[in-house]
Amino acid sequence: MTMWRMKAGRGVIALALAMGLGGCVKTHNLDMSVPPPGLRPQIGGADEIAAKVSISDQRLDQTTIGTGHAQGNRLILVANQPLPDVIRRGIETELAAYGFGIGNGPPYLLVDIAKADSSSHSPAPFAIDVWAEVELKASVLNAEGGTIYAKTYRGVDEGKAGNIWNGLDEAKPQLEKVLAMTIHAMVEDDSMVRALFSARPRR
Amino acid sequence: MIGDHRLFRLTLAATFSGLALSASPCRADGVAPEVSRCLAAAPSGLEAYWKPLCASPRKDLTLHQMQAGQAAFAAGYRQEAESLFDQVLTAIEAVYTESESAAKARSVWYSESEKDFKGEPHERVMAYYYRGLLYLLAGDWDNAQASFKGGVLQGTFVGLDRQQSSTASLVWLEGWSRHCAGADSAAKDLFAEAHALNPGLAPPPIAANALVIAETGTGPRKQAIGRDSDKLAYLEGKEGNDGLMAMVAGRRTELVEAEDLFRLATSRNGRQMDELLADKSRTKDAVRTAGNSAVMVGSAAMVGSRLQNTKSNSSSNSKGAGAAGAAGAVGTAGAIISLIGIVASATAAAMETTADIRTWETLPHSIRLAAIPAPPEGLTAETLSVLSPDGSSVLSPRARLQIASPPHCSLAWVGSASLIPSGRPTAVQPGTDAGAAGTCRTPSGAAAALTSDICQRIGGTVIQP
Repeated sequence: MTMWRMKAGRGVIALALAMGLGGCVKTHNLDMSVPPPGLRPQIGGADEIAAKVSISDQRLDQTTIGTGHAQGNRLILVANQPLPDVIRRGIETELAAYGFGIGNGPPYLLVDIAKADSSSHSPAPFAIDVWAEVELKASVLNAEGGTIYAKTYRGVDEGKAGNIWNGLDEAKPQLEKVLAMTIHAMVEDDSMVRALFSARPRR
Repeated sequence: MIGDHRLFRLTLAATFSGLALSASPCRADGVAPEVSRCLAAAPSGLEAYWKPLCASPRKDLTLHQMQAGQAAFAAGYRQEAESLFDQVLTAIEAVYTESESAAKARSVWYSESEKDFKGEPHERVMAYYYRGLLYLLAGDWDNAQASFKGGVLQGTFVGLDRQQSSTASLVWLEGWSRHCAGADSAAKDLFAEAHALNPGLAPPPIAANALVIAETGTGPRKQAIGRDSDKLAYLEGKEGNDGLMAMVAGRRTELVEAEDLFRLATSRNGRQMDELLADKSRTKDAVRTAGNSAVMVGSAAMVGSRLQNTKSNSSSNSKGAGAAGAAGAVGTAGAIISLIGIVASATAAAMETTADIRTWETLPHSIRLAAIPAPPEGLTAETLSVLSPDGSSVLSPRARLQIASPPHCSLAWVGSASLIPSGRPTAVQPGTDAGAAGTCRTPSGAAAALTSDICQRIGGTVIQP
């Protein structure tokens, strides 16, 4: 009986230790980039424009890009690169893919990061659910500093992780994917393109 | 207990064997001689299109041929464009035969994106459209009509009759091909058919012998939606220009919208592919549910058996030994059920239901056209202008037009890459932070009421913080 109690006691301690250690929060630092765009149709006259892109991070927490949850673990994802730089490069690459020049403006394309968040969790064996949400507030200013266009672009997507063996970090590629989608939607927007043309210097 | 361990090891071994099999050895991809030869043959300025074409796996070849063919067409490399679109049309027509790739297309065990790309109906229609235009540029009216007709059939492939086609532009172009061949009676019927499909498309004036086609904006984008990303959805591309006029030798004619590719892509009902994806989804759901249930039942049995073993081991009598034996049997059965569950879950994962979002990225949003009498000096880049509704020219300084004047009919084609987007931006919202604005000297020297932050971000100088 005493032996049984000792064994049970050890079991309880082991369980408590396992739960205590397993439930810790860790931070993963990850390289981040927006996936490059594929082929894009060229926009007539876009090469005559030299747009200036400026990004400002308006998020309350500017360090975290997402979280991962699995088996009681919680992981905080932090990007190695400043997110505004990542997004600026993504927007410039997307604009260039459509034929736009990048320079000192006008037009001035100002983008505020209102939201860039992601998460992953494992609901069942061999399954990782991922989610990401991005909100970018874009405005186009002309040479006189007048705001001729402003719109908020939102992107959200949830799905299954492609790599279930790397589940805790899978929120990051999901955020990169949603960033690429949102930036594509921004540059694919008729009004945004017309605004960039309207804000170009007249000859 | 020993049985449990053995089964556990067996499960692990099976899992890792599966992993080892699925991780096929990587190929060290150098540039193969045939790829180098293919790249060397790329027309000047089109390397960006030839690079993916030359290195394309078989499954994506038709997609890259479509994109490269269109780029070659727009740049005036007609021979290359003809060759590429001929290959595309051959591939499209092959999918409806009893070939191996057609059988693969019907299988649930291959991802949609792993199958040979043939495009969605609107993409296939556009392949026939560009091949038809190449015939028009060459003055081959019969083959032009045959090609446009092939496109119309692609638009009506899924058991619908021709009257339900939404490809009015290609029906009209069939009529134009007949008109140029001098078969005006046949042309009249086709123009009437096109007019019925799209009331904006009127028959051309009797004296019309020149056709101006302008493509605007960007084509529809594909997106996979749904829990398993198994549903195909479309996002509309940029319209580019909300109205255009052709001005030939001083005379203005409206370029009528003959086709809207977003509408074309989304107007089909009961597509075979959608049904196939839905079937796969349902099967996958059933297998996955069975798998997860088996994993849970199996795990519960194993846990139950372990508890029973613990209880039995703590007991020293023969009754306890008997219970331990029974518990071992339950545990073994649990492990087997678990193993079946894992296999079923893996099977569900292997059933690929993800929608194919490979897209012909460089398609336009709309096709506009106008049929006019050619001016006495001929239809040339000098006699043709394209204007927005307010009368300003929208031809970009580096516009590349495709113009040909074979006997009987001329054709001028203007791609979206040659057209400056026109129209006012919509959804304009008021400027931000107006209340906190100070005075800013913008880089152009203008004084503007902007916050110091925005002033600095555009490279201006804050005068009055």
